[in-house]
Amino acid sequence: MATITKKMNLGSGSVSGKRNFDWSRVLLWTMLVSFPITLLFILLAPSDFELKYSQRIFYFHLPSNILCLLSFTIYFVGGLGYWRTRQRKWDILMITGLELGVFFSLIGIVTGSIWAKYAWGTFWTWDPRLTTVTIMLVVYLAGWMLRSSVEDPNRKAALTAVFGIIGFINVPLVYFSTRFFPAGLHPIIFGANDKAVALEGFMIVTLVISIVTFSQFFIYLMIQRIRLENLRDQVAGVRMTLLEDEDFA
Amino acid sequence: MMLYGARGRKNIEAQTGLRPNLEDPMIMERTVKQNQEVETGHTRGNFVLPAYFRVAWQIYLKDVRTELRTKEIFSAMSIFSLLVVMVFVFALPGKLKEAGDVAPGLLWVAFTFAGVLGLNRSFINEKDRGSLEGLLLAPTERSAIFYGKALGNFTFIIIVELLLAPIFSLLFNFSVLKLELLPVLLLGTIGFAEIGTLFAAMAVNTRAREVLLPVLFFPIMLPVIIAASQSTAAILSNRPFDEIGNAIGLMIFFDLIFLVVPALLFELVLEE
Repeated sequence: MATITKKMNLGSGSVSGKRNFDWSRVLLWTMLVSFPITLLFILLAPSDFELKYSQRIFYFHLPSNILCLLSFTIYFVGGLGYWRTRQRKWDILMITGLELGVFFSLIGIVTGSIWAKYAWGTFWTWDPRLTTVTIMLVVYLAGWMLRSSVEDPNRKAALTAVFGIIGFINVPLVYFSTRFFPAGLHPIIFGANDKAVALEGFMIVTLVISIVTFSQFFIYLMIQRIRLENLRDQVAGVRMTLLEDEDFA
Repeated sequence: MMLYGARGRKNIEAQTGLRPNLEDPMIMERTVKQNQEVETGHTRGNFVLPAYFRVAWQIYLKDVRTELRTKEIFSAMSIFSLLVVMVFVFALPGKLKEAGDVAPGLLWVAFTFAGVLGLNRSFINEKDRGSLEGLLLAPTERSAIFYGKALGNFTFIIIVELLLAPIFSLLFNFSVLKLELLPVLLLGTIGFAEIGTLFAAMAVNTRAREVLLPVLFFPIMLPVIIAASQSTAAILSNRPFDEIGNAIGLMIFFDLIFLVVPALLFELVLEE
């Protein structure tokens, strides 16, 4: 009870005393600058010779896919941490990674689809990469469903951790298994492959700026998600103590 | 002095040919020692499995015994898989002539559906009868429960698969009975049993338990389903082995990884 009142400043009306500096606010203000700059760069970047204007969606597509993979890795790390320690902080990391991963993979799939309609003439093709991303999305949606159908918080965390670890190990296996399908259409942008599509200097600069901006957005969302979960814990704690007070009054 | 019971006395009789005098301290000492040997699994002479494997084996035997008495999982799985095949026959009447193209995929769909049905029962029965707590009290690591249960599920699924294959051939008028198919069937079913047992144990503790298992199970099993149906198709159309080498390799890899990982995580799943 004492710790909670100290943290929450219950009953004082306004929050007083020392407050920790809020880093997410800094991010919010820098994003206000970096988003217009990114858009400007995307508009100014040279058009692709073949793909014309549609190539620009790539500056949204690649960063969100990178961040989607990053979030699922965060989920996996959270799962391992929870498995070793059974601490709530790892559970919060897991739910953050899971939700952000689903969000960014949806952005990645939608932008990719729109572009594919223009470039390939179809919204969807069963290419190894597309299949893998789709399966990954389905796996993590299932994880989300699993999480929402458990009530006990400890069990919820435990099952989320188990599913996150299994799901993450499964991703390379899915990718490998889709190789048995006929070769796909997805371009390879980087690497020594002769199929690789080269990017011009200005395009690479735009891409880097776009990745930085998206990462800011990602970190901002992550901070807010972790904060939300912490606040939920505090509310639950306060509710518990209030109920106890009522019982013993 | 009836501490060691009739069986202990009979053992001594059998080994020594003497009727033991239970008042004799020498003989009492011997029975105590023998009892310790049985408990710890260490005997001189003949080999006894460590307690871990004996617990897993006993859980397996218990599952098989329960199944032999109730026939609950087995009957549900075989009837359901038969119905799945019949639905395919009715849904694809035009395809029956070119069954070779669709049969491998349909076969694995039927196996997967039937498998999920059986896997669901394996933990829900334990939970509903309240015997899960009893299992958790087993004096060994939790992963022994996993291995015992997974072996049981593997046995049930493989038996249903072996029964379904001839019926499938009959109904589709297309033979899938080939001895070369057996390794593919075994590898695929091992993967089913490993992941399925883990997820069944997870799903049993959730609100939507029967519904949740397929949702969790299918996406994770996708590599095995793809590899198994691709290699089944290749074998049935007599294509060379090196074409399916990768698919077989993937299944072996999958089975090996998920032989170890769920056992490590099983403790977390059954935590109260």
